[in-house]
Amino acid sequence: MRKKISILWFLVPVTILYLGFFMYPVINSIFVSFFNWSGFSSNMVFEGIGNYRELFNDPLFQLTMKNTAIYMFFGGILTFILALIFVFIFNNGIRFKKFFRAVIFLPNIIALIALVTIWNFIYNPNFGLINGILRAIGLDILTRPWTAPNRAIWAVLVATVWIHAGFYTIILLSGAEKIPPYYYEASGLDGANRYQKFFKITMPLIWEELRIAVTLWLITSVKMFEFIYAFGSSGYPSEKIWTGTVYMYILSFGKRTVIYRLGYASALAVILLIIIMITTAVTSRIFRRQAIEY
Amino acid sequence: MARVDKIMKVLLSVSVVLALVLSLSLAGCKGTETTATTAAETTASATTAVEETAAAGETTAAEEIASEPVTIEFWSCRNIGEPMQVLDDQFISEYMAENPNVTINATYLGRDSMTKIRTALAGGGTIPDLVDHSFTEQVGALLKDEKLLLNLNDLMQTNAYDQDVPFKDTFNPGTIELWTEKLGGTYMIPYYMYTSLWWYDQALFDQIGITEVPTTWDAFLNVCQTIKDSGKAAPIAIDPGEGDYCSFYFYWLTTRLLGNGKLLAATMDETGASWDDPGFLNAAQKIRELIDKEYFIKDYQGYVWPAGQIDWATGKSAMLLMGSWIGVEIRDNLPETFKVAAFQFPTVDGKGNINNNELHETGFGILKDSPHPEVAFDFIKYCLTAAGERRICDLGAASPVIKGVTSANYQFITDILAKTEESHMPHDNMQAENPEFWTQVYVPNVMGLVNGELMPDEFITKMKEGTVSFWANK
Repeated sequence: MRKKISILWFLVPVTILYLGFFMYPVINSIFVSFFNWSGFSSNMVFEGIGNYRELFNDPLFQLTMKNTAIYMFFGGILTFILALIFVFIFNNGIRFKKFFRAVIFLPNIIALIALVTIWNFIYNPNFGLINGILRAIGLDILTRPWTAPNRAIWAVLVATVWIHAGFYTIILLSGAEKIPPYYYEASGLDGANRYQKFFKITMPLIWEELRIAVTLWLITSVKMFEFIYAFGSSGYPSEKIWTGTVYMYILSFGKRTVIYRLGYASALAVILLIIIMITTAVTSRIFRRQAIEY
Repeated sequence: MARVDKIMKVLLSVSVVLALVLSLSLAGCKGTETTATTAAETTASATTAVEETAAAGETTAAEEIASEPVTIEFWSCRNIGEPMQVLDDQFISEYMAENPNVTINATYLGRDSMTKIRTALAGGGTIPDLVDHSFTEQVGALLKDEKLLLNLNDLMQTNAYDQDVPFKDTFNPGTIELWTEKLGGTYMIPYYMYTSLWWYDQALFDQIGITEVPTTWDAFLNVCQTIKDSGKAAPIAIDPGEGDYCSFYFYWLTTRLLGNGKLLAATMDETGASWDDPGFLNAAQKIRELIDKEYFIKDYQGYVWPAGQIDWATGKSAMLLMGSWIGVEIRDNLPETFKVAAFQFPTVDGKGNINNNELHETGFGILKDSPHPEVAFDFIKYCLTAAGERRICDLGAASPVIKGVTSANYQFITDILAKTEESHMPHDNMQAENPEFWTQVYVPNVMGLVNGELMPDEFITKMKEGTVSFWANK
């Protein structure tokens, strides 16, 4: 008992730092969300739930929530399908595994602005890669303005899946590589093919890593900002691709058109926090099961 | 011994964790902007205060402004490397050489400098003395809710840097007054003027056989059709992902059809009834006509800036409705055969004055709490001598605000502005006077109209409903 108490004392400085730099801003944001405040003056007017009421009637907020849901669900499905395909391939003995692993992880270490530039080039309707290839193989009829307003969000979605799939592959692969080989050997003796091994052995045994990866994705998709903000223009991108985080930034700081409504933006931040908390709680529930040890 | 080892291990682990958390926290608390600053140390002495100089009728050019060492913080909207930033540094070096008691520290913050300035003002740390930006943004950030800039009425009466005339009299008529009435005083000093025009390549027009620029909307449509029929280029280039650039079409059409201020007034009308004015629907229909007749370049909806203006610069599109800053942006990318020219937005259905020009000023402001406003103002006067103004305008396609100055480039813009009979602000000043509406209601819908997603009547309905809903939410 004395040993435990003495250890606790060593946790005090870290706890103070955590409370000061992480918890305090969160609590302050919740407090500010009840005020009409620019963020730059001392004039804070108490609004109660006025900011929240305004938010739920704000068509841009509704659009950004819809966009966030698209990134979260469709982006998540595509990202994890791709990641699991990579895990399947790597787990079945591919040559130059380390090289390919580095290649698929590469988008995570390239500067985001470079990735935005690359994807803007890929999507350019005149000289972009996609339309260029289609024209070269005689499929002009399939060329499109890929970033037109009615499909911009799907264009950004594809790019973000490409960027993130590698990261989640590495997480899932870390679990897959821990699985003892004799499980696969034994199932092979029983006549299981590689697909059966993947779905009956690999998937159940990387369940915990999958839970962690899905939780991380849910948080990432709600917080998605940099790629979307940089994609599109010198000003800020079309609201067709905005997430709640982008809208929150524009409300707080704007870029060229100054709005400065930090109280209102804080209300949006609180909503995003609640969304993250609910989705991670639901994920934990769905993925909950008895731990498997081997 | 084993117990001591154990304690040491625990201490070591905790120290490592603490160091990691501390370094991450400090990295997150970056503090002030790390964009490049320039400074030089000065020495030396003595002088004459601005008031004494003015009273004696002597110029300040040869005499130092400060009686003791003074440092001026200049927070600029320029990005490092852009032509105006390079010129700013030259002005600063020259001014400090003439005024050794003055040190000017320039910090180049980029176009979202206003946010950083407001943060500094709220945070209580170092604040700037001198700022610059488009007047729309300075008004929105520093004058709209509270007057954070200094009223310069008195300082404007002092002599120019190199002449024995009041500084205010060195400006072209109308340039200082543009914002004075709205603000109840002079709070900003322009260093150049932009406008928006239809830009084109005279060489391409000559090839196609277009000998006269259009001054009416019908003539403009004829020009578009002629260009389209020639097959040499698409009639119109556009970057439709930019809200401002989409707004150019609608705001110019409504300004011609309905007059100055009507668009802004409609955004302020809480009942939404102003949108029932047939002029708004007419403007939206004219934009739709451009889309239906395929006058915009093919697949323009997928263009991401600056793809549209690059198409124009490379001759794939013939005309571009754009602010005159385009002259700077494409200056180094034009083929040699390209002969840059521009014409004014035509009159529409017999309405509007073709010499009702958009005036878009960019310039300096001095913070109200600056401890040395007269020194900051003296630097402004140095930049805005006739010679200084010429250097500013020679960078690109800006028009001079100082009397008697001609620009080496794009003199035709200055000639157009010289014929101004009426004037208005860009986008009917909505960005300064109703910025939330601009972001939340206007831009999403006008982009939908120009991109072809919204039909004209749908656009008007959405604007009306959006206006009512916007104000009801307030």
